[in-house]
Amino acid sequence: MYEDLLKRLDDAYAVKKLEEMVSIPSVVKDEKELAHYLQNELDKLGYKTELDEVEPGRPNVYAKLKGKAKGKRLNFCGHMDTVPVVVGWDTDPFKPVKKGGRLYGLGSNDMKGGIACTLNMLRAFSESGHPFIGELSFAGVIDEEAFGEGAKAMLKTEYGKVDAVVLGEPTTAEPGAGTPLGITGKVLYDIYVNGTAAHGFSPEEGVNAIEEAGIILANLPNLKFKKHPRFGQGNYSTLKIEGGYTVYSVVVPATCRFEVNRLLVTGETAEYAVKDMERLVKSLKLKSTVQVKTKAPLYASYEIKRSEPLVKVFDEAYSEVFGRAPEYGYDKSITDANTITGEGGIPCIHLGPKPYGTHQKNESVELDWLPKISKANTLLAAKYLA
Amino acid sequence: MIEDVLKQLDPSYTIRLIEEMIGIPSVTGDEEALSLYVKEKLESYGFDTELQYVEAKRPNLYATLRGAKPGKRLNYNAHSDTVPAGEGWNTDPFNAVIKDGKFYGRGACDMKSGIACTLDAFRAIADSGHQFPGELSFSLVVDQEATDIGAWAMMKGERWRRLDAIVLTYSYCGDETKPIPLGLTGKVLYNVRVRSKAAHGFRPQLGVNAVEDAAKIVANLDRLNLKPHPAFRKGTYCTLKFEGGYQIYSVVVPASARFEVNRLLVPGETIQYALDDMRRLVKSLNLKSDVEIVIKPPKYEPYTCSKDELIMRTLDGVYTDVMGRPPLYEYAYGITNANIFQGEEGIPCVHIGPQRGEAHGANEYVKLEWLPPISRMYALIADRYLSGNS
Repeated sequence: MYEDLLKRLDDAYAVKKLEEMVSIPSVVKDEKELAHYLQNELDKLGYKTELDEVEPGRPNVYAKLKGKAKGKRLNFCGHMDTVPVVVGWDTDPFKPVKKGGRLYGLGSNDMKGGIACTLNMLRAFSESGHPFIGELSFAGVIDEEAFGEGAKAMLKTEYGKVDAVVLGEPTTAEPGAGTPLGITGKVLYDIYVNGTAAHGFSPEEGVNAIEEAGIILANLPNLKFKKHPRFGQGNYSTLKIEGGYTVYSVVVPATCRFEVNRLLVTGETAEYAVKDMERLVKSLKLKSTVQVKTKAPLYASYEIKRSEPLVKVFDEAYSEVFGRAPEYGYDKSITDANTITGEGGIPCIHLGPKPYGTHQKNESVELDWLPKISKANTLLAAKYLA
Repeated sequence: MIEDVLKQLDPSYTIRLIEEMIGIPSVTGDEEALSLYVKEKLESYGFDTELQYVEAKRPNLYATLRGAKPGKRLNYNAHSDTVPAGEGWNTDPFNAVIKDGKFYGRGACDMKSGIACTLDAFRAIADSGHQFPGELSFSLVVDQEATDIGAWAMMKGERWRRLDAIVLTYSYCGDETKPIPLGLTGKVLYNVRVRSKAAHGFRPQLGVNAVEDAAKIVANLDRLNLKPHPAFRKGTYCTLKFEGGYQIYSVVVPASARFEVNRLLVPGETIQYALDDMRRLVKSLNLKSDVEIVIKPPKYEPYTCSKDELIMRTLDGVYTDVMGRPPLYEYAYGITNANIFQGEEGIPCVHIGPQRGEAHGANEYVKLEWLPPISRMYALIADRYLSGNS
């Protein structure tokens, strides 16, 4: 079954598209050139494409192929942006290099490798003329590495009403690295501590906002993390602190600000998180006044059922390709699924190459994974839109 | 005669000077305009003046009036810089306002009123033609609110190292709000760098958070071992700055953080003691991060000054005569340029000036009622010390 599709898969095509995409820098905020490239490629494949400007100079790209009759709508979604270049690359991050069975380049893994496998599958569908029911579409979105504005914008279009989404993020569904049936939410605390200035030689006459911020930070383990049967517990990580003189002078600092990232499990809302932090601060009986604010981005947690039709189809497709059932898990992370599923209510499945050097120097993708991902994508789409 | 000098003192002149000087902002780094203003005043009284550029656009000012006969060398000292304005003012910090008997403005008590009272006294001495042996001088140094490059530069000059005494015109008014210092604390500025291991912020357990480890140190500073001293009681500490985390937003466990803590030392606590003390505290916290502790300039050893010093006895007598009661004394928490003049160079120092209000804070002020007695004291101290009438 589906031989007509599978024999149209072209691994060399996938690698070529990956190399071309790595060569187009698309650090978050600069996705435009890659969006135009994808539109051009999908036009060549015969898809109906459009660009949609999310912010000035930053478009999402959409492409669709209609089946023989009306039916379910399946979308393959991928973020076009990469993180910025970090220090220490051995090669030029924008010149793809093949070495030891891997392809090195910024975004090769996260997630141009996934997009390349999607393009491979989309090409197989249009070239084979394989009959299917419903609609097969692609969405290339901006901003996943920052504030998720691309996925948020997608929800406002017709693609925000599809029945299911596949995200090509590096996720292998191997033992120990299951593909998520649920992802934590996230809130970014933005906390302002306000003390009283005084001469730094008589600190007792003032209230030191930095020292009181330090007390809050030292007590963060006392936040109340709800226990969830599948997620376990959330976590926190202080990301930034700033306070004190701009020009050196011995003054008790009157203000201090810090940010703490907190992942939320189902049952913990942003309001819960804020109240929890306020409770913690109150218990410390500080002399300062403390404002607990939050800062974008904010994401909802989500869970989908094992019995979801998309999951069942994925199960079959994956097992056929990999010779074993996929592993599922509950992730402490954030992807566009937080928006698409958490906000939009559309079930999502993640499948992509093995993560390696993601967000670090010398990011790469194992070339052996690409044909398997392309094949799994193809079987999943064919079965879902049968 | 000294009475001729005292008759020439003019509180309204002093008030005008303070108003004009507050209107010349001189935040640390921008002292030149104020120095030129004071230079012009002293020249008009007949003093010999000299500018010493410590850095580009940052001059110390010296001014001298020589007596007819050789004698002792007495210097009146002030710093030209102020701290920045900061937030929370009810009026413009650089536009002096008098309200309810108080002069409001940045530098009102720290320390443009001390400068103004000195100028009033010096003008009165010069205009009255009052004779004295020895040398009366004035020094206006930069950078006291930061790292004291002004005072250090002054002490490089051999003629200033040979001073017999210095009157620092800082706002120590000899009452219970600010007794006259018989000694000053020392000071160190700890610069603590914390380094750890980065990780993705969603998996903090795979890394070590340098900001959180640094915060643990800051939250436990009350466990520093502040040695008690019979006269000084204990030193103090104050965290001045804390920074760490992303430059451009990304969810990464911070691998480095840095903070600075000011610590005042009492005699018995050396700079080395302070360094070892912080190291002990950090070690006791068993942090996973690497912590590097360094003493960042400026640093000062503490010092004490005897009540039997001639200049101290002179101040005691003058103060009692002018105020109708002897001054209160204490071993003071603070750093002034006396830590360098006496602490390092051994020149006997006293501090005397108008009562301070909200120094370094918003709505800094000086009470007008203090200006006439301080000017009087400055004139009497110079006369009695130089003429040997203490």
